[in-house]
Amino acid sequence: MNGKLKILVVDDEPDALELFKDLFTKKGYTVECVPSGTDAISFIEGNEADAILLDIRMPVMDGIETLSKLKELKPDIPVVMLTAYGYDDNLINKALESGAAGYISKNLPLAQIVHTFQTLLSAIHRKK
Amino acid sequence: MKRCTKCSIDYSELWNICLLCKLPLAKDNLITKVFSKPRSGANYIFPILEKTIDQSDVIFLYLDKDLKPMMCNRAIESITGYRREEIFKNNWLNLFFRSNPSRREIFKAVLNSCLNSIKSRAYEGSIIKKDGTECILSWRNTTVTDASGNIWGILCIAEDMTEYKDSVDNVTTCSERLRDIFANVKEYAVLTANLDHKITYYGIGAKELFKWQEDMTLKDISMLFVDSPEENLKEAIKKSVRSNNRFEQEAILKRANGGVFPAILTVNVLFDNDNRRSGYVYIIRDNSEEKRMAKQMVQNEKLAAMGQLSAGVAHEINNPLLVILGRLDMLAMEDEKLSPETERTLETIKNQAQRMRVIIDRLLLYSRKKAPQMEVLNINEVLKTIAPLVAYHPEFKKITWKEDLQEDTAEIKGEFNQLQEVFLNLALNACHAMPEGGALSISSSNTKDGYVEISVTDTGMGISKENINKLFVPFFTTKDNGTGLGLAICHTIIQSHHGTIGVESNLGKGTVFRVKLPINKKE
Repeated sequence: MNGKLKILVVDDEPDALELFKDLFTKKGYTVECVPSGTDAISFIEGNEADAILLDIRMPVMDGIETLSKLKELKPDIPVVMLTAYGYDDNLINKALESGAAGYISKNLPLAQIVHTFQTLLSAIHRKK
Repeated sequence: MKRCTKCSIDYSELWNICLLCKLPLAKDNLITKVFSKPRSGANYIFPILEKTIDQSDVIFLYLDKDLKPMMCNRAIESITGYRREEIFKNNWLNLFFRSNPSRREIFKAVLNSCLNSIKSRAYEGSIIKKDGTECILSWRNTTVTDASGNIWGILCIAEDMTEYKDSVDNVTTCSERLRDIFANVKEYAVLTANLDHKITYYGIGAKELFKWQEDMTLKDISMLFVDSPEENLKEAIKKSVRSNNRFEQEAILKRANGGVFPAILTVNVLFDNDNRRSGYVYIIRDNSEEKRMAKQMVQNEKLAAMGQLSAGVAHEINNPLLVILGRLDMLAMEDEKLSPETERTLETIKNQAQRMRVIIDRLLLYSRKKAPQMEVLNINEVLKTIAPLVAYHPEFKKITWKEDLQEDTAEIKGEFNQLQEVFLNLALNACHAMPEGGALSISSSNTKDGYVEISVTDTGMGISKENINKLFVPFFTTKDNGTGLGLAICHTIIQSHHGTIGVESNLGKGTVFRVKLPINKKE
């Protein structure tokens, strides 16, 4: 089932982006990567995705703003926020209010990141 | 002898202008040349002199050798209320001193002394007016003699001083009141000193500030000073008051018990009624509390700035670190078998990177802007959880744990977890300070100024003076593997609870951390 899913990863840090690409590819996903909120919006206008992993803190257009625009364009695509800060409650709350499906701390070990992501997605699919 | 050049009236040396012609009088040497027939001026001069005297508001009373009035002016009527005839007919001394014979005798003695010694004598005292009220007269009594020194009588001139006396009385009451105020000021030490800077007077403020038990009057003011070799404060004060009439400076002063404290010292010159320097007034205010607050503020600002910096650094390091740790995880997921040496290397890299992660987590915790989730709680509930948590640590085995939690400790507002972290941190630090064992006591009580005070006391090695000021600064540590963030975090948490944290330490004897948290005000 994983092989069929296409995910979009949005992060301004190129090495982090590449890491997630390798990780999720290894776990059987089709992975598309973009380095900014603006790029994420252009991508989603012309392409489909089954899920989006979105960094919460980015320069120019931040995660929350990108999230709102993505939700306007494709409200059905689940967006999971990536947070680097365990204590950024305010940003996380804002993201959840703006329609994020959930959030994952980048500080977790990779195995846990993948596991949390999969758990979140299957919960969403079960609801559907 | 002088003479008027127009009417030829003779005048004595006292006169300058002719009373009739209003012309300047000619001098002696001119008289013989110009005039042949001098005229007596008495007939003309007396009426004018009489009028002048009669209209004066000062009493003119001319007495013969038996102290009987020969002449008196109208002022005696207006001042005493007696008519002139009454004074002439009766014994005027009995009238004026009618209820006070002893005072009358004194006054008589003054007048007689005048006659005997042919000298003026002053007297000041009250007489009884006709209406029964008193009035104060200031007398100037002068013997009048002829050219050969034979006594004619006494000229008594008296001025009514009643109103002036009243105002002097007011001034006296006023200055007494000022002295009362001065004596009771507690916030300042107010002292006066004479021109030699010896204490002449001081109020309760000075007594309390300097903890004086004995009388300090006439002690040299310099006993209050702690002079550094390069500055002699007394000399500096003398120099400044000489040129500027005033001195103001921050100075270190000494109490009777030897304790010293910083103070603002102001010295002003006291001037007497004739505008001559009569002494100095010293006003001293203890400013140790202000200094402490200022120091605390600087410290807080410094810590806040470090908090911001730490947060920035932590965020910046976090991203590369997550890539490093992530890549290491990816390597572990590879199926390819790595050589044991490479695996060991990778393990070391991972351990070190994870250590960085711990530091960053602590930094983020230290710099977090998240406000505590305040709930009303009793700090004793938090403190009771500390012992079981510390008990897991090996250091705890050699420690005697004491808890003195007052049952009536008031409720505060705070976040349980954050406060628990503070006291756990303090307790662990205390354990680390006693590697050979000792006593650790935690106590709580209410303070008079609306706080709950919690103290964590150990009997450990203590903290040196140079280290004690850096305790709450992030990354300051004396432990081999400490991050130096524990106390910095405690400080941040207590501050976000509107409380204070302070420390006192005796090298080799132990340390006490005191946390004060405001008592919850019931609405």
